[in-house]
Amino acid sequence: MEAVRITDRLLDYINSHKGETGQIHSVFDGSFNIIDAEGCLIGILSADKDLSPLSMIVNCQSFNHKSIVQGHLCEFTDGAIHFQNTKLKINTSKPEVVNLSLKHIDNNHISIRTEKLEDLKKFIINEGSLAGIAELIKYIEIKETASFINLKSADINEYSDFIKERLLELINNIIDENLELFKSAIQKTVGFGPGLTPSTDDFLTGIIIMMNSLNQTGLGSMLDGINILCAGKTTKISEEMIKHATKGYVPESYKYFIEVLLDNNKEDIAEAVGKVIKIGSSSGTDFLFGVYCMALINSEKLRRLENDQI
Amino acid sequence: MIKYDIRKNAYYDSVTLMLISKEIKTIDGVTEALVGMGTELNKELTVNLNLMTEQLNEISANDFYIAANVESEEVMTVVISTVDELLTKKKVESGSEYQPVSLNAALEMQPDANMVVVSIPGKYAEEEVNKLLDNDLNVMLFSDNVSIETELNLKQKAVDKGLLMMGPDCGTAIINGIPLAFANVVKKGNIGVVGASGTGTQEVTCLIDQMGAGVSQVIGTGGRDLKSEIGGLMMIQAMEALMADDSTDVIVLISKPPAPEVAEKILQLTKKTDKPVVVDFIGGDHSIIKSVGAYPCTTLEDAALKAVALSKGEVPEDFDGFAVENDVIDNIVTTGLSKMKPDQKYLRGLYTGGTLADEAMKMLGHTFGGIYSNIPLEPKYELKSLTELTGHVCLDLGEDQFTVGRPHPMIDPSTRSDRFVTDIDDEVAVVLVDVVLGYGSHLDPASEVATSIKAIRKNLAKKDKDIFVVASITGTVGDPQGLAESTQTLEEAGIIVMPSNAQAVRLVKAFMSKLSGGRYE
Repeated sequence: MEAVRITDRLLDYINSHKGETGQIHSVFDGSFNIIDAEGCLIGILSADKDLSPLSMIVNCQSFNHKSIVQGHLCEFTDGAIHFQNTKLKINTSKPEVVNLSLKHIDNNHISIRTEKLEDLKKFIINEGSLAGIAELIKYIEIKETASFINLKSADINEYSDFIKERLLELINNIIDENLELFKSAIQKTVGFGPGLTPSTDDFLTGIIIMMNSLNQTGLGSMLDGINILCAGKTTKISEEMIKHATKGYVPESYKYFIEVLLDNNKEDIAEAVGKVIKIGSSSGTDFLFGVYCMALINSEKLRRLENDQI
Repeated sequence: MIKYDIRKNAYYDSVTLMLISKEIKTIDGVTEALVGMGTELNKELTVNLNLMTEQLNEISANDFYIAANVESEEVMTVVISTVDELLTKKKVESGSEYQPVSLNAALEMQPDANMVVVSIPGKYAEEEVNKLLDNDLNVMLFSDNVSIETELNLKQKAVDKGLLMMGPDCGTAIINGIPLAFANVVKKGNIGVVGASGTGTQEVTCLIDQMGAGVSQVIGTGGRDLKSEIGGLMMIQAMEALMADDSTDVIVLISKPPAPEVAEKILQLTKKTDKPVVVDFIGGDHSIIKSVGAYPCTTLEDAALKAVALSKGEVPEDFDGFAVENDVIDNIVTTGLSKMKPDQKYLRGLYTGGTLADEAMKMLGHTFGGIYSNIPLEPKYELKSLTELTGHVCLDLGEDQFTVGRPHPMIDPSTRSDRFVTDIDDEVAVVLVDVVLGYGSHLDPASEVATSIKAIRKNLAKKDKDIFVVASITGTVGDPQGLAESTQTLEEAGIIVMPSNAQAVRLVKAFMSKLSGGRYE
């Protein structure tokens, strides 16, 4: 098996962990994960999967394979990962190297155009999977505080119904930039919903990524220690996703989407949104919901700043 | 009673988890159920749903669990076996028994193979298909998102080497009796079919089977083959193969109307064979087809009927009616009309097969003053919004805007089930649907439709209303889902099942005409 594409972080990891071993953590049809002694999760993906921050794409389409079994050990060597008990190895000597870090936006006062955010909302509602918590986007209003409009009479799924108040609390704590309450709200929100990465974790990833990208004073410092707060409260795969997000690393399609969203020279977000929505069952949509909320919080903050200056 | 099934450190992909969650809630005897990973908050929701037992404390964030309120131990056994079945099915479908890691490894394992089905992301298809053609292998390219330039290059190479390159986006074929991708169990016979449209080809081959005849070969070309850029390279290649094939006596060609110069080239080729050629360029010009001695068709059903007649040495006749007497149809219409309220006036066509939706709209034409769609006959009938439907609407639910992040509705009918809920309002009078059986399709699409229609009728009954629901089934008695069983399931839900899409559309047209007081006649 050949690695076709690899993130620079994973390449560095392999080069610095030669001779060490890992264990196959989980196996899916189109991917599998290796976990090391420190709990670091490495993704091995088929070509149709989205490259994530510590992963590689290999020239294999399916991993429901007798050679890839949960619990089996592997060893990182110079230019390859060898799987014990089988002859399987992944050659890592010639892949394309990809950087998945999101650049901070230097301008502290970037505002995403209202039309773009309206488009994002429409895409989420019309084309997203609303089986998680993203259906709440229909009812949320973010101004000086966040609230839900007409939600009482709405027929929403059990996940949205359960989490709606806590989500509001989280958003209002971000608006207030109240670090302590924000961290408390994170703990009351993380790890909830259907799927392998629970819906709220996808939502939080969207929030975190936008905090990271917008680089606003006050917001960036709120990210410190989030990954520690989430430890043990969600799945290992989700924990890793949140950890990478706090450091500014995201899956490839998320990175592309954020870059398009924040680039005021690009108006059409359809293609980028389409790529994200395809992720998981509802993961991509829940992530977009988080991005949308954080973008609105940011826009509202900038509007207030402008008003204050006037 | 509350029962649990806990799987320690078990990870399943999200799409599978969603399918499991949806399926087990529909099992008889299950009143509440929750499926998920054992995070603190998911466990809290479990308590809120009154599914709490001591076992909940055993679950950690990395454990998969099912909590269900079931009538009995036996029901929980059914729940667990259903979950296992869905998980196993996923593995079997992906071929867990044999998974070569590269094309070379696959070819080494199967040195006698002469055809390869390629289903990988489109951007990687060109390289792999080139390798296959270089190895003198015929190709069925299921992948989409392949550029038209790439398609042309691959097809030219295939033609130069005398090979088939079916696709890209080729969804159905039956080669030497073996169904590939979405295909039905069709009897062997002397009719060869070349199709540039997936469900159109399935409809014709199924009807051929239902009429007691069979097919020699069914060759797909991909939907763009008859465009100017490709020039019908694969339809011509397939036609020449069928013309030379001793087991083929009749040739059927199915496509949306081709580019004129491509149509000319293909039809000229029909002159070079003594075998009768039936041509359904859906909605296309008949005169040019007749001029070369081929047999034009009005519908996919008409194509099947003509092919079967010719295969028996009979003279084919145009068919634009019903399989039953007109008074039977009149009775169905009259009964349906008696349940309508004055504000019910609109049609909703909810199709999983694009060609069938297209055929329906072409047959109905402008009689309704225009049908809005995501694949409209004219740009002015393009739906502005897929969420706020007005007027008459016919949807191809297999199009990209409905399949992002979820499987094709022929595989996972939940897309259509959701649309039943959102698209059928108080003003809808008629619902028209297709049910496509066969390999690749959902295990029981008829039940999914029946369940949705029953729920809609239950709600409408509260307002003293009903709807007129018409279906056709694209399938054969040999299909895994069963034609008779599927028909029975639909009919038990009060759905009128017609023998073909064309007859279903004609019935709808007759109903709508009466409903409007003859305005649509």
